[in-house]
Amino acid sequence: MTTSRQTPIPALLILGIGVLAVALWAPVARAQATQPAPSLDAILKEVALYDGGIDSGALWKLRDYVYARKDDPAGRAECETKLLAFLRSSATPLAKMAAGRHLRLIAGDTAVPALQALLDDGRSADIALYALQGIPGVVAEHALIQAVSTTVAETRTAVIAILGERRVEMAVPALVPLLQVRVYAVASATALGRIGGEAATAALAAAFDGASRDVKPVIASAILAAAHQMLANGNTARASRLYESVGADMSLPMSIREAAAIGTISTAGTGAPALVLRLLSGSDAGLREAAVSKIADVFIPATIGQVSALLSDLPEATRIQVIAVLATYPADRVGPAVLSQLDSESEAVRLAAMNALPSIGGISAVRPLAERAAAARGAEQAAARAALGMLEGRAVDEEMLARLDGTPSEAVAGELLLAVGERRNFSAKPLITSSLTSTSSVIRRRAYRALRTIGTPSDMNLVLDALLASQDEGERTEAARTVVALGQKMSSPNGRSQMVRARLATEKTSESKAQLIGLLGMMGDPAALPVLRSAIKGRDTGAADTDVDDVDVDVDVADAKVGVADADAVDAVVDAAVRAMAAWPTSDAREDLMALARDTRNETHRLLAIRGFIRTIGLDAYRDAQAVAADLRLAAGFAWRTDEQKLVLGVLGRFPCVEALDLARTFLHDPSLKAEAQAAIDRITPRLPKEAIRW
Amino acid sequence: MKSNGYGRREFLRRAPLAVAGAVAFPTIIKASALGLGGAIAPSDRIVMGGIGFGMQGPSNMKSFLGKPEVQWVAVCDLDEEPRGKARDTVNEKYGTTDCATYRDYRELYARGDLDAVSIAVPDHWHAMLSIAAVRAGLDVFGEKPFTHSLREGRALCDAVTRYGRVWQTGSWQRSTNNFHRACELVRAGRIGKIQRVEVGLPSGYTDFANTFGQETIEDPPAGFDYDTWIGPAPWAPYCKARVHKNWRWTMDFGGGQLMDWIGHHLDIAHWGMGFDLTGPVEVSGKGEFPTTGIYNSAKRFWIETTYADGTPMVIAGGYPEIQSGTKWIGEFGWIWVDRGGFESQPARLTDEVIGPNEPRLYYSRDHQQNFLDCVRSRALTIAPAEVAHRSASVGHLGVVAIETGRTIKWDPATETLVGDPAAERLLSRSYRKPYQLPA
Repeated sequence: MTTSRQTPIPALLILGIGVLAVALWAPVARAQATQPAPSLDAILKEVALYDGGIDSGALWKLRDYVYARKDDPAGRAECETKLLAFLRSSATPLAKMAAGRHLRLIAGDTAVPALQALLDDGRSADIALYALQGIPGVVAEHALIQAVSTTVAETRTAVIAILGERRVEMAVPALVPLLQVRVYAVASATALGRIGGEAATAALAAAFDGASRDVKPVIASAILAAAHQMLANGNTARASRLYESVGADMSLPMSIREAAAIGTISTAGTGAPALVLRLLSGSDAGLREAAVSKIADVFIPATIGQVSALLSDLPEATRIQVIAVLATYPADRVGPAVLSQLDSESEAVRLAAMNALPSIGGISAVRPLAERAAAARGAEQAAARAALGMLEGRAVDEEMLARLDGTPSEAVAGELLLAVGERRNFSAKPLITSSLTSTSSVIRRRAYRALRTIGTPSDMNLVLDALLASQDEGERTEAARTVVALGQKMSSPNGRSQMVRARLATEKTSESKAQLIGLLGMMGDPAALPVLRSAIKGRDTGAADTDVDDVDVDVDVADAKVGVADADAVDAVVDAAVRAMAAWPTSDAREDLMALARDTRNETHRLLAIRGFIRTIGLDAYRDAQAVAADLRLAAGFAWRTDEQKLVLGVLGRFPCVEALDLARTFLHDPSLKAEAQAAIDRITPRLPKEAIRW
Repeated sequence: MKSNGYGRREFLRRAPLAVAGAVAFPTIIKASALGLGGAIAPSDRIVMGGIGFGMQGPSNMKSFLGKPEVQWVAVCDLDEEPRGKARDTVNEKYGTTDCATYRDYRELYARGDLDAVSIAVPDHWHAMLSIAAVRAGLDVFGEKPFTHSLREGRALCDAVTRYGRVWQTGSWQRSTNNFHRACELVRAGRIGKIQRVEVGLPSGYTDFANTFGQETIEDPPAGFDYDTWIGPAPWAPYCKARVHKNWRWTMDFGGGQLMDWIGHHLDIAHWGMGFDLTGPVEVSGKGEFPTTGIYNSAKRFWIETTYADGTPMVIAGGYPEIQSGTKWIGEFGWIWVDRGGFESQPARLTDEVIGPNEPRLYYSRDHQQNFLDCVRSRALTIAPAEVAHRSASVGHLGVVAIETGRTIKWDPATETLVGDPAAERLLSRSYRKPYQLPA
């Protein structure tokens, strides 16, 4: 192995450019280095004028200065000192707030006295409070406690709130007396609840009974918050007494009593299951709701049967709630109880049971759900089908196949077939494909649906056979949808229609050809467009241009040419081709539709083509708006009816450009189109640069 | 709903002053008296009201109005214009003139006939309105980000638990097919052990209200209670660019693109990873900010996080190498999902379906309907409070990391910063007097 010692030319070039850049940059860099960084005093002088508007450059300079020094004790001290002085200056309130924001982040104990002094000044108090809230430690907390007695009105309320947020236990003695002062009672109760602990809680409990009607719920809420903390800290007995005292007061809003009941259950220990059962059986809906919310915490799988046993006796709403909780338990513990609710007289309960069954139903749920899906309609049928599709366990798949092997009714078998497909049970595909030839129309239709899910492109011919043999319009629709779905599974979009085109070349009757052409329109394979063009011209629909080999099929299409015998038959095929083109799902058909709209003499076809043209114009959301507007102008020229002109305006609004705006304005004079034109204009105008609009 | 049904029937027996300091609303309207024709019995309806109609509120309300079980009875907004429009929408829907309007949310909560409330207000009001709502016994459909600060998030989660309320966050991506399927595939191990997660968010500022540049200080319009709109945030003078819809770009009221989207794509990343109830253990970040103007949220950001199992997760806005959306990169390939796309390597993964015998994730295809279903069943929604809080927490920690300029260590179990008291100051916000978070 040899290693070249020559420096490659590109490397030399880069080196040269680098040297040149350094040479050019050096004087600039020196000049910059000689410019002193602005001092904090200079920055603050600039900041002092800030009025809250656009010119905030000085604020960003201040931020940069402080942030560069925030982790350096000396720099931080300089910032603290000067920012505090700035708060006492004649700077604007917004400039001072900018300083306060930085003090909140960097100030220490040394800043507290100066900030505390500002609390007495109504204009600066907000800024001082803002900064003080961030300063950790007892010095700031002592200052805040002192401020409880030295401040008044809203400033005092804010001080109380901050002590609560910081959970300053030593503030409790200062806050307790304020529970009796109407204007501060709510703030101090809330703060004491946040602080928690024995002293705060005892004070709240003492104030509770005698509190006024408007303050009592706040004190109750505060007690609940404090009890919540006690419970978290393991003081269950004390928390329990607090919850019970609040819950026993019937004058309180239900929401607070409900919260108290939740707390009581949480602290009830071994007595909790009995309490939940008692509340569930009680007459108070709010307390039942509280009990429901604690079931999962209180009952283990071995004991959940106690709740299941109550199910049928519960009021409808509570039963729905309990079923939702039971769904989280093991199937063998709760499945039968929930399953029995499928027979409830209440549809809401039956739906709740179906929603719960996927995780707990198991094989026992297969038959009742299939029967329900077969018999019900609407939401209940949808829920039953969804549950069948999601029932957990491989045994469920086996149970479904076993039931299909039996002799279920047509409707039930149909539902089971749907479920097999929904569950992606690929081993059942032979059963499904054989069902396509069932004597039962119901079974055949369900089999089509199932095949959409678990079928593959190689199943397409089978479906085409069935489609062409069927005389039932509804069944044909199912089959056609299945062909499209199977085509979608091909990795190359250009191959999706290959089998259909091949079949088209071999089919003799115009009816079959029309069917197949309709399919091409649904599939949207660009390779099928030439076939449609030929058909529209009344020519042979042979598929000689088929050149895609995405699927391994043994069809020789090269020589497949089929003539159409008579004029009526030709008309049927042409009509199908025009409709397929007009329904084409992508913009690939846009030019064809434009040509058709321009050239055809058949008014029905012209209308279909115009509508299709307008629709396909709107399909390319990222196309250049001017090109879209040009196409729409063309379409508007073809459209002679108001309905189609409205379609043009509908698309126009989605492509904002001056040309679209101009086109929309041309319709303003027409009373039947004025509203749509104005709507398009309103949609376009805000999205255009103001200078672009020609008023 | 039947008379032996939900808590709302009990609300009718409540003392009228459910919220301290609230103004008593003299008329308590029985839900059963409000029903129109339809499949849902009037007494079975879920009675709702909404707060905030300047941005997401109208769209949320329209979704709820389309549900036959919902009876929308009231709208609340500080600005009379969106409030009036919202009222008209409701009245048009029902063909009545009954929709009540409120400027003060406390009056709305004190009605006594509501089951649930939809809250879509600027971020700095989220926690206050929401805690007051759950305390008043209301279930809440709330917008993301969950709260404006991490500490507010914990307080709100505790309140939702304490009062036994149902909470749904507007992280609606969970209720869509692509995102759900992507997460299930990741959870099912289709790409093996996850090596890295990338979360791409938008960058810059979006002019939602067409008010960019309108930063001239002026008097707020009549009919807009601007002082209350500022609420607990530091006071700032009115200008059009500061308020409706574009408030999001100012950190006092919103959290920029990072906090706007953290409840979407990061939320999805968490879902796929099974991190719904935890958070990162380490966070570092950098951000780029404007140099003038009234907005101050990061226009571009790069946040690196590490979770307890060692999984690194990058959250970035404005870096083309991080694709918009959520991307999980595993041992055997990757899965990427966004609102407009769902791709994988190997490509066949996107067509794979999770069977009923594999682990499944919570299923919902209609976010508002899921909320309503849970109001009835009292089950957890697909985006409950704790989950939303954990998603938002990553954004909050990202902001802290950007602000401190250093790697911060986080204990997701205790929700405390490890050895960084200076950074601790950034986990909460100062409130303007006399605002206080309710208990």
